[in-house]
Amino acid sequence: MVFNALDTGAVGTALVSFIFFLALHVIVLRLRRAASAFHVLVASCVIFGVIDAMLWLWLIIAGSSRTGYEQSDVAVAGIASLVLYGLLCFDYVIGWFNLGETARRIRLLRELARAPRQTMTADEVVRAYSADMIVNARLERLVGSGQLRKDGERYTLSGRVFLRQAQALGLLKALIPPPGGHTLSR
Amino acid sequence: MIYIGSSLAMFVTMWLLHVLWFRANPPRTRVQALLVLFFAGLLLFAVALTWTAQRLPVNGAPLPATALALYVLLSFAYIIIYTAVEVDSPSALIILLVSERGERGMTFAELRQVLTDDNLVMARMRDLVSVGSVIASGNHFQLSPRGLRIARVFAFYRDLLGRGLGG
Repeated sequence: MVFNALDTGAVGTALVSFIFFLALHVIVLRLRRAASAFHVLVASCVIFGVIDAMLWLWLIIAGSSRTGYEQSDVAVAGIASLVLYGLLCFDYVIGWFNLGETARRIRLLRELARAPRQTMTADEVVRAYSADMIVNARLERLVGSGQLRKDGERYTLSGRVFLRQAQALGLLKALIPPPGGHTLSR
Repeated sequence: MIYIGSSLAMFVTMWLLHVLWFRANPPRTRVQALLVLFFAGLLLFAVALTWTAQRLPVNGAPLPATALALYVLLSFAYIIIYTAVEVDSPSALIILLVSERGERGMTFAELRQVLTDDNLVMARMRDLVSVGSVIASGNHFQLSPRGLRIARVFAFYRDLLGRGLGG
């Protein structure tokens, strides 16, 4: 398999943009601890996506005499680079960042790591990390992201994005039933 | 363009194979099975791209590395999404529960009647025991060496970000 400059350029610019995205979101989250992680991640991703797009636009405008490739080929490589970059950001945020941010299993492991002799009873586990804390944290995030509205004591739906995601996941579950059915019957 | 299209076609083919396989005879360790399936697809795709580059005329500049990277990243994205099929997300459950109630919505207390300590916390602890990250002994749970490694990696990562325990 032979790789050409356009090909390695598409993968390379996506990787370099992703590395800058990683550095920027770490710096901003460290400097502004109260900032919404969601907004910092989206803004960091968009900034380097735009820079990547500008670079490829410049290469398209430069023309085939300077790049040695047809403009249409450069455009395809540029779009592919942006798609790769977007997927890198998606995979990182959903597959890694979210694990640390919201995964209950990671939180439980960290609670056990902090406990004396790294051992806890079931009661101690629930005192350290309870359903109250989990539901409260989710409600806060869902209200903060505009998916739920709080009127007095009641929470009602105000956005459709998370609902559509949950429904799409329901379709996937119907297509490929999870082991032992749903883990939490309603 | 044909390279990008072939990457998408390969991903869709492997996804369809996965659906057929998981519906007909679900494997015991599903995420590992998915990793093996999509990795086999990657090898097959790399061979196909090499064969194509040597034998078939392709319009435009060839993009084999881009096509392979696209396939890998799409596969990872799908596997990450698939993990949400196996474990119900509390946020998704809250959204679905509140949505079902329409204009009335739900209070925290009503949500807590459904989302209990057992199904939100202890069910996850039992998962950790089943994968060997935690050792259960009577009413006690102890971190295994594997669990400790994972906890340390995330402690380092969360400290780097300057964020708390999470969860």
